[in-house]
Amino acid sequence: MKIYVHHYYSYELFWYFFHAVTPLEEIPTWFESNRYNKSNKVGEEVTIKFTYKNTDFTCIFCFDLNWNNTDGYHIWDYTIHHLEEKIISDRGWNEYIGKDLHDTIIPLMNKRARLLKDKISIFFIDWETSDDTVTPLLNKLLNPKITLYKDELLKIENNQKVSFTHVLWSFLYPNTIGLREYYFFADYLKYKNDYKYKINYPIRRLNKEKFGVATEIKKFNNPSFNVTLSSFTNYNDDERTQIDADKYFTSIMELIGNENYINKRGYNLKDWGAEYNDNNMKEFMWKLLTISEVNLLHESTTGYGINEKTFSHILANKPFIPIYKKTLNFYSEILKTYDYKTKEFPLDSMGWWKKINHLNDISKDEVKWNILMNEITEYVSYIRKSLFEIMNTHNGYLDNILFNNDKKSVL
Amino acid sequence: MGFLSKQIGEVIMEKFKIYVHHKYSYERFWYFFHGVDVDINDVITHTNRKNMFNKFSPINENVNIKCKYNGVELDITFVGNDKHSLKGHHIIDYSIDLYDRNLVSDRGFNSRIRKIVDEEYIPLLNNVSKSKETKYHFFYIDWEGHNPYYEHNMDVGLTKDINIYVDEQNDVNIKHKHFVFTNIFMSFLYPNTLGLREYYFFADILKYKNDYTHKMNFPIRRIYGHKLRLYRKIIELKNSNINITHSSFHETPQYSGAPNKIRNKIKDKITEKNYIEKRGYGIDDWGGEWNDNNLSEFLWKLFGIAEVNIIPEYDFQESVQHGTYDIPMYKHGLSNITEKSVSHILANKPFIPTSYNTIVFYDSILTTNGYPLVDYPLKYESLEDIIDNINEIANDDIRWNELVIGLKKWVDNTRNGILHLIDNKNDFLEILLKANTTKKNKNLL
Repeated sequence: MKIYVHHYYSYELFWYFFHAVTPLEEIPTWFESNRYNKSNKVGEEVTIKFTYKNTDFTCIFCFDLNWNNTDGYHIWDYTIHHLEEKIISDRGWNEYIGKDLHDTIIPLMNKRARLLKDKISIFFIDWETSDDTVTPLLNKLLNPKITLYKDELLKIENNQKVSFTHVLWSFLYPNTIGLREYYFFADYLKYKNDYKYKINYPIRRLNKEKFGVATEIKKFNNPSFNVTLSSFTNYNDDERTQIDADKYFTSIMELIGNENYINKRGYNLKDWGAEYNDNNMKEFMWKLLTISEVNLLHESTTGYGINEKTFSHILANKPFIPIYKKTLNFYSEILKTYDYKTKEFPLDSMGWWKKINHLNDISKDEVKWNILMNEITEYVSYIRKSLFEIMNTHNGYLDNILFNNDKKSVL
Repeated sequence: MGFLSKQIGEVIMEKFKIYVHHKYSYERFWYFFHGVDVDINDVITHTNRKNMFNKFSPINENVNIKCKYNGVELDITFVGNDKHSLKGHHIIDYSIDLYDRNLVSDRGFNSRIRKIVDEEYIPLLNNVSKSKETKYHFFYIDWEGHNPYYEHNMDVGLTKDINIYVDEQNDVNIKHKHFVFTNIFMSFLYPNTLGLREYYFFADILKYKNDYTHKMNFPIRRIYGHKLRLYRKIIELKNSNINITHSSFHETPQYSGAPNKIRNKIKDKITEKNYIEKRGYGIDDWGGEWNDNNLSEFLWKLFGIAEVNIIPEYDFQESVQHGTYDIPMYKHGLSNITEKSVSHILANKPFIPTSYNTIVFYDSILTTNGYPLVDYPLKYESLEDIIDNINEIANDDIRWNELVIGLKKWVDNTRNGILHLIDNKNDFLEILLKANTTKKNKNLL
């Protein structure tokens, strides 16, 4: 089978799209165009043969060429396209997401689908769940023959799919926010044994909900239960954060004290620079994985998707506790899909208020605390190991081509 | 301060107007102007909503930052390729300019663009420096051991009024050529194209590792000269405590030829477990031979093998005595610093360099700047001469532990000294503040 990938070749993109395959040749890394400068695009078609589940494939990275070829499948990724055009610098949220869908992208893809029919797939993976504009737009206007790969288990309509393995790999390749480093960080983090706190609740974007949780935590007056606030909160000129930041910043600083304010801007080597996602993730890895034994994570995906918060901790094999119930449901869905045993996360049945009260109590009892930490560590390690097995042996997109005739099912 | 006493009021302000002929970034500010007193809020990170969220989007606007160095006011403007004739000091950095032009992706060696110095920079500098009341400062920091002053015929081709800043210590008698340690050290960190800044933070977590497989490791990537000789000595040791790893760099034609007999013999000797293969499956694929990939791989894979790394840091004497290219002595760069020792110092990782000149160099930096020294626990010229002794020490746990403690103390003291130095001193600004923008209106060639 032939697959046209409408992007410029890189070895990272090969792994993103075609993880779990057996390449029949060495995966190239350089061409004359990028030999001495990795930021240059590879401006030539690159063909690689591989096998997957006993089927031979040929992938052709051909950027904007070959759209009229009907002898194979065609794939295109919304975020990768914008990265290639340097409109964005990483995959996470950005203010350009969705803005070109109505007038440019959807009409263009619909036009291509007239010829290619159901041989065309679009990946729309933005690490955001439950939006009010983008998903409805795609659902309404995109030609239903096009297979749309999303990253959320919500409103899956028409030919839409969720390729779990691509969602996971999207965090790693291209490595735009440095999450791949979390994986290797695990090899060293395991030795750390002198954490300042048992639990830390790290806040970056300050909002009403997080302020509420922080207030309740600080009421415990428990020296083992800490709250940090990263300086993103008072990122000037950003209306996304400014309203809540103005409202709660002074109050939370009174609660947590200056020592728990994680200032991105420092002198010289301690300057983490601008609020780009890769800077934030690097800062988080070096500064916020090492404060406490376990991090209390405020991931708001409610199990319909995942974002970098929980997955970064899984990569680093770092114990964490989601603040909300069901946050880890997405991971359970992945395990179930690939016939792995699911594990119940400790405390998962508790709402956030009950959870923090329980943590406050248990952090004062060393025996109970150690039992809980062992359970969480075991869970995280199991998830990490299982996900990597799945990521290295399955490919949701290729599985869909090979085996799945029921277009409405979720991979 | 005698030179200042002759210039008062607005003349002094004019003298320290500085134009940087590159696009602005906060990283570049720290590279050029570390050590200054500045309000961090003035070291902006973006200028509009486009580059606020997209680091690919360059800052094309002029950016002005006012700060002080040793109590003297500096009025700095990043102006890009513009305003060359305005009164004041002007900075052009060879490597930064190549980034601006998207010709390179990192600062390390790149043979393809060296001719640009001859064909573009030197003519440009000679031309723009003719403007009245300007002083040009040209940075040529390439982390390579060759003397660019002669390699690019600057002795006869570059106006003597232009200051050149290099990472070699030769030619102290040439008045407009300067070795600027703090800027050289900062060049490894900002712009952080190689990920060396991560090594600084890595120190905080590496210190917990306590189960190294080996006492010492000698990591070889490119095979040549003294590395090969030391490799042979180590291999000949009986009961060796010194492990050898070989990274796959030379297996790729991206930079060099196909595998040869020597490499195959090394691979056979060290066995497969010590062959560091860059290309792996999925997440274990470190990709192409770009410098940042190599440095990232080194950090995560080669700092965790042994308690102490043996590092083949560049040594000009080795280059003079055993270099494969035949050039006169004065063309060799008297250089001692590359990413090899910088990475280990940043990570606070104990190391033994193949030449003791590396230790002498760092000790001299500390001494020159008034920092206390800690004795390096070994004395030698070339490590080859004492490799048997080190192996013996490693056989005796008591002596070995003493040696490791000594190595840790030295690297810790050196790291602390240099980190303090780069926050408090700027070798370039020390020279700039003494330079005069007034000059005769003629080409001094």
